[in-house]
Amino acid sequence: MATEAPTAAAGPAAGHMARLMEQFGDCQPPDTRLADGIPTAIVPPDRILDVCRFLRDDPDMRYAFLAELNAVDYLERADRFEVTYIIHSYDHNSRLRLKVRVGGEEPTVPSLVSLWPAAAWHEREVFDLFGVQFAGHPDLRRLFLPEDWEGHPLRRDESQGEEEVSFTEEEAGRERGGPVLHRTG
Amino acid sequence: MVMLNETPTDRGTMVLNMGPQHPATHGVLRLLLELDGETVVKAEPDIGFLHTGIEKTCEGLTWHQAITATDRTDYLAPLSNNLAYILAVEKLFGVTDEVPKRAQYLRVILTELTRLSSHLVWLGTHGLDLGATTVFLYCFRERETITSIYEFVSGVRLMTSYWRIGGLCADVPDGFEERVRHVLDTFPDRINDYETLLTRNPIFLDRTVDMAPISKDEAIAWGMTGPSLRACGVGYDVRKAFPYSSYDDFDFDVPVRYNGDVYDRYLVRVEEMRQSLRIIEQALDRLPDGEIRLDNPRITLPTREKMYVSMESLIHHFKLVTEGPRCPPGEAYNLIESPRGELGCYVVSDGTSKPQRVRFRTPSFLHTQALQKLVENRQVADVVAAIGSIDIVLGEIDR
Repeated sequence: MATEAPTAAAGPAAGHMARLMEQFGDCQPPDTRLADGIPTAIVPPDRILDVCRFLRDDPDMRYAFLAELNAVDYLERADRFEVTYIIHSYDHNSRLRLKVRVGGEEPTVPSLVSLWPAAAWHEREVFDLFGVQFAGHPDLRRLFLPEDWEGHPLRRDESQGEEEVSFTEEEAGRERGGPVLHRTG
Repeated sequence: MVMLNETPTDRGTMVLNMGPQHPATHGVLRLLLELDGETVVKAEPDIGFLHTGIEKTCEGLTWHQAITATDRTDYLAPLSNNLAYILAVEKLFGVTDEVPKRAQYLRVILTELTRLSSHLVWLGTHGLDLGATTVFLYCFRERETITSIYEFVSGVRLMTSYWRIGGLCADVPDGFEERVRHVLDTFPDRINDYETLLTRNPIFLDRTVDMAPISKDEAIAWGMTGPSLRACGVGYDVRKAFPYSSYDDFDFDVPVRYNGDVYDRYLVRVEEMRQSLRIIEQALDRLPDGEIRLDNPRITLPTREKMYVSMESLIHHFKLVTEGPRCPPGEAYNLIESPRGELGCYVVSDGTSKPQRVRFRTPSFLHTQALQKLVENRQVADVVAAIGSIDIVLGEIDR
């Protein structure tokens, strides 16, 4: 596990992570470099709801605050979307990070709205910008972009957006309504 | 959800469209209110009018260039947003501990000034929403002294972009200390003045006490942070919980209130302004001399003097300017206490000189979502008080 610069909170969080790994055998340790020292587990998509409920409700854990929910598109991976959750325990002042990896035509992750109402907009944002579906979300619509928008702009294979310019003088001339001055190519 | 063009429901309610051009929504926020008489049955915020794709824009910029995109998210607290990003990037580069103390202290001084100026805008507009016009004028007068300090150090009043990876863009000019001391000398009285106008003002009390309350557990479940959470009895402040940029060197209190209503959010923020002054004073008194940027040819620009005498420095300079520093692959999350609450920045590097992903977890985003909870079963006029009390900035919500 390639972590560095442990935060002051690494103490209880590391213990909680060990307990999580013990309880849920199908969770994996991270395989990439995490430079912030937050203990991390990769959770199978169908287990994320159980894991979060356990962490939220267990009297020794009490991770009651969903601090972050976002996604990253790793275009080259088979499971290209990585949804990351960071949860916080006010009782222990500690944080854990959970990751879910999904891919395919219709990447789908279970929704956490039943656990945290705060997840509703986070998940709509990820759906809007990445096109990841959240199963069980009560109202999964686009959040920022217009409803008739096509595509999901934060995917790595979406262009950053540019304006098409008429490039040859031939086209430029036609656009102005003037004569074609020079034919290229 | 209720749509504007939908016929009134069989419950006899009507739908009122508030915004996006309503002056009391503090930007382009649209609220769909389903009303039963004057009572709000259901409120649905509609956001996205200010979405400019800042996170996508960052993917096309180098690590340094992206700094300029970050202050455009929350334009009332530009230095806080710069700081959230830059600390995350420093973690990713692995240089967090090498940032010179002078740079860290100056970051603290300037971000605390940012908190002051942001709270002043909040206080002024919040007062204005509730009919207290005078406070607005005073607050903006004082805010001007702070924005002129931004201009003095960075050349820009709002879009400062003053931090660099490993330190600051340049040292503060001569006369900086006098200007900050002037703020420290005058502000305590000014804050007392605002309090005279509002804290015991019967009209203000009528509009704020027991208004739009939220319980501790609900606030946590809805992801509220910052002053809005501290008004519900949770003493959580990122500056204490996960100290960054040498905040643990300073002595300050975290104000907490317990009713979770509009009035308590007001009291918490006013007290925070006093605590910010305490932090600034300590940081200024103990401001060390020395470098303002770490010296690492892989990341930071060499000084002019070095470039005149060293060929390698010239090459480093050329590479850093044309390509930008290359960041080792990995990811890092960093959180800071912005004036509005917990501001997180998530950066992912694929090993190149441009970020693969920059993501902002902004407090206003979650507070706006929680607004539907806050105004449930309240009166229409109270919606305005509730919006003011959570201190949202639409640029930060829509990004």
